[in-house]
Amino acid sequence: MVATEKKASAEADVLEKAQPPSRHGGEPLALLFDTANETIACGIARLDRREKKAHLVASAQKMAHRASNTQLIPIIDDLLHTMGASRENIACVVCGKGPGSFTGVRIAMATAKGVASALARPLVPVSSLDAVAWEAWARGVRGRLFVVADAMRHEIYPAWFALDEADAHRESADRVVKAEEAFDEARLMAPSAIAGDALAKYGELFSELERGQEHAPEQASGQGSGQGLGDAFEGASEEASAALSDGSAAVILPDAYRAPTARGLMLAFENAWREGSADPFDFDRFHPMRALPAYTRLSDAEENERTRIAKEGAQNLATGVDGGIVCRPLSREMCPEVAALESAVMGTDAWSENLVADELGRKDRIWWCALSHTPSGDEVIGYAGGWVVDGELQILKVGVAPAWRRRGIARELLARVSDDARNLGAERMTLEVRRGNEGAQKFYENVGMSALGVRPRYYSDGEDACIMQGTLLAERTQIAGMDIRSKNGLQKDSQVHSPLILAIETSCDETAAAVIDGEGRLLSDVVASQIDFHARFGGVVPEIASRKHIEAISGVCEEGLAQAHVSYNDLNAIAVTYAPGLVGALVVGVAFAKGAAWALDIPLIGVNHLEGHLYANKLGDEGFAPPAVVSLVSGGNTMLVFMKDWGDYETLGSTIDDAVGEAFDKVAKALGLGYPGGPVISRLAEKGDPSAIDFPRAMLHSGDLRFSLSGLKTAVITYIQQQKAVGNELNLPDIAASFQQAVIDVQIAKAARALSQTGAKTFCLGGGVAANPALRRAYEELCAKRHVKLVMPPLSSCGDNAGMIALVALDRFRQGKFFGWDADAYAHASLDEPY
Amino acid sequence: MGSGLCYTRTTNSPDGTKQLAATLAPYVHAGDVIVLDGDLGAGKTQFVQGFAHAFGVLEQIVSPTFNLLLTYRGERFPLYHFDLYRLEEAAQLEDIGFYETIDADGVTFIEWGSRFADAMPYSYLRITLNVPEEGKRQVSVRSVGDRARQLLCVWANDSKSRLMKSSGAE
Repeated sequence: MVATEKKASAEADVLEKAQPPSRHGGEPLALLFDTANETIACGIARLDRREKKAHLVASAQKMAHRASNTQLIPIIDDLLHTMGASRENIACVVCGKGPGSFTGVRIAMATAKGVASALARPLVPVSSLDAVAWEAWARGVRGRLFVVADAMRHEIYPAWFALDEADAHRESADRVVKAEEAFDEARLMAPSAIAGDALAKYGELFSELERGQEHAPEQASGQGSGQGLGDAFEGASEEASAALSDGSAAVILPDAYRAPTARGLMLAFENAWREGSADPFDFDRFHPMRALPAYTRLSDAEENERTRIAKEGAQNLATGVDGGIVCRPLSREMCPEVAALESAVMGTDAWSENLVADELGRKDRIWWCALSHTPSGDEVIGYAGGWVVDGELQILKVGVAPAWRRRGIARELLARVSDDARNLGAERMTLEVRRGNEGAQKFYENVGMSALGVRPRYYSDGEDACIMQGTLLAERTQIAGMDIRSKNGLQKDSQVHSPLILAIETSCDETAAAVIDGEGRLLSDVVASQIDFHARFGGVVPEIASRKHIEAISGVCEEGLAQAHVSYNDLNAIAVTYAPGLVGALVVGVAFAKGAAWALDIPLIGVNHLEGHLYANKLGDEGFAPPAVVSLVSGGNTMLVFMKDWGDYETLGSTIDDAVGEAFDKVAKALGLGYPGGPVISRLAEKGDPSAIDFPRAMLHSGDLRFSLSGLKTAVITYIQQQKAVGNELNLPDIAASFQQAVIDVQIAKAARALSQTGAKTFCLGGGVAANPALRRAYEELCAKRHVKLVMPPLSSCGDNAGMIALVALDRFRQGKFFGWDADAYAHASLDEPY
Repeated sequence: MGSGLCYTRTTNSPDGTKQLAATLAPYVHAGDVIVLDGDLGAGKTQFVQGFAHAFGVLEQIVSPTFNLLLTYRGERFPLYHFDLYRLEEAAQLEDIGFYETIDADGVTFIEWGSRFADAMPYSYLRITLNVPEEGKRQVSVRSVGDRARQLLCVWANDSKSRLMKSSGAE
């Protein structure tokens, strides 16, 4: 859609489109959309700033069929075009934040962040459940409304509303319950009507309420049950549904009342505006960086972790990143230490070990502790606990050992608890603090809380409690609590040349942004690594990765632009990694990039992540040029590629099962070492004997260039178990060295074969594993022996980064190869096929 | 949890199993889930092949053991084919997009679904393939939940399926 005609305009107004968008051309508009469910709802509303009113002027509703990423921007583009409005008229973006299908919500939120960030406009998130309720209100439903949204896996997001002539009033916070529990709740509370998309699946369950409680529930028979429900109600008219609440029976509302609509979204937003909880003109308060989806639950990996550590100790997986202070969810084995610290700092109101232990494993409780790594083991130096009740986090405890105060530990703990509480559906937090403890009150004021009142004689010694309240700690959401690394080689006043391209990379666990100019210079290259959040699990947890990308993307891009001293309006194109990688992670980058490129009306460039790694060699050697054989070895890939020319590649062979990085991680996990496994194992291996254990060299003689790592991984794990079973002490350095040598032997043999096969005179490395020193040495030897030129990217460019995506994007821009607004993310993509 | 009703049929060849599967194709709705149980080699993938052919899938159906999920374009809506044999723990289901897929816009076949019984949807058809003797396959079908019960009724009513009501014993 954007493709060719955009190219000319993009080149024509290079660097000259920086006029500030003005609202003089027309009235301010709100762009509204929601893709939390199986439908895409999109609308445009005129904003009356004085009256705080919104008027829907255009809307569209379409089945998403799991493809909202491909359809959302085209629909928005169409709507705006049809009504003859321009992008500059958009004063704010209103986006459904769920709860709902995680991917759907993420697409809406990432797109909204892209549009709002690029236009520098507020982003107001609205509950998708509110939108359903307000649509019902607009259709004349009155009384008590129960909205049930499908949460999948036998669960429902329930919400209660009171609908009167004036408005739809929300009566309960976001949460998730089993379908049967929602049904029991409905039977108890006797709603006038039930709406929401969970009815598609659980219609029969809820239809019992429709028949009224007096009647004995009959067995539904053949015709008209199950799927037939929707059909049975096709004839239900609006008048019929408006006449509700006559006694105990509830009306199951038909299809039109199931998914959020543009009108519902607008009314919910307008209501929030009237009440003061939303403001479409307040950019600072509704900065796109702050908006987050409503999840109501943690990722499965985190939930399982909490259940496990409530009973036993945490796995000994140090982050391997930082030797100092580590925060982690509180585990049972740490409870005695916490209780000891508690009695030291809390005096008469200290909780006992059993009281603390009893908290763990409860779904609505969140406990974190801060540990100091010492040679003799970990020592608890702080802890914090909270309880999520009805959309609010009640802080139960925050304690830090006196010797460790004034180092930001309490704030860090509070931030971790806030993060989890937000994921569980809370927005605000409250706590009690001793009236005499001015230091603590000052601290809470500093994190944005304010005093609400006093509870007299609250503590057992008779002291009053000061009640404080505020929003959840939000500071971390800007870059999702990640450290930003950056490489920036350019001075502020250097002359920059068009085109200017912002490149975004979110294919795995790093959120990265880079800006490149027409000379091929990287004006900025920033990476926010999530490694700390995955380390405890011994590998990347896709659901956590997706959530962190959503939190970080807007801030990381802003940082990338700021370090390059440019703004969105200076850009000539936006590039993004579209494949391969974790789909849930890629989707965030693609949706954001599309939203931003569309908002700026500049081309979108899709880049294959693997091609980025090939281009990264330009950073190691400016004169680098194909033909060359490239070894790409990372946590997700293990392959040999023949680069015939830029853009012309042949995959010579790749792994048939695990990737090398994955094998390093799994072996490290089996040895009880940290994550990521690569650096830990290579450090250990330096001290070990590579020939101590003869691990298998899989496919060494297969006669082709394919790899297999699964067998080696299993052999190492089996060896460890055998040694443990006979009571032998494990020689970690020897195991690490022998494992690493088995990997290297195969890599080198296949590399030699690839060089002979292609006759290439240049060999290069790419991917995170290319940082392994022993592997680099082995390649140096191989290439010296064969008189082949060896190109290795600098260590900092071996891992995932956006700089390499930007390098590819610049070539694409010059070739005029752009993606349309219907672009999507893909888990797999072959390097051999041009795109 | 199932409705108690069980239908069975014994097929004498892979083609017979495929033919049985083909008779199910007209009746499925988007969102339907079919869980396939049976030992390695019992014919689970064959069943999906027979279904897919009648469902208008043009591509060759292969076992998703390594990929975990393969997606095909059917005439009416997509066909999703899971194989959970390689999956280590239920927590990984979220990682592979399992829940969003089975609740979406297509028909989903799940091999080795019983390994993660708690993760199966609210309503599904459960098909078990046994090998009573060399070359023969005993196909037993049960339903869990309302929608699957309805699906099983219409399927069993199709005389071409030749499914027989049985006592319900495994």
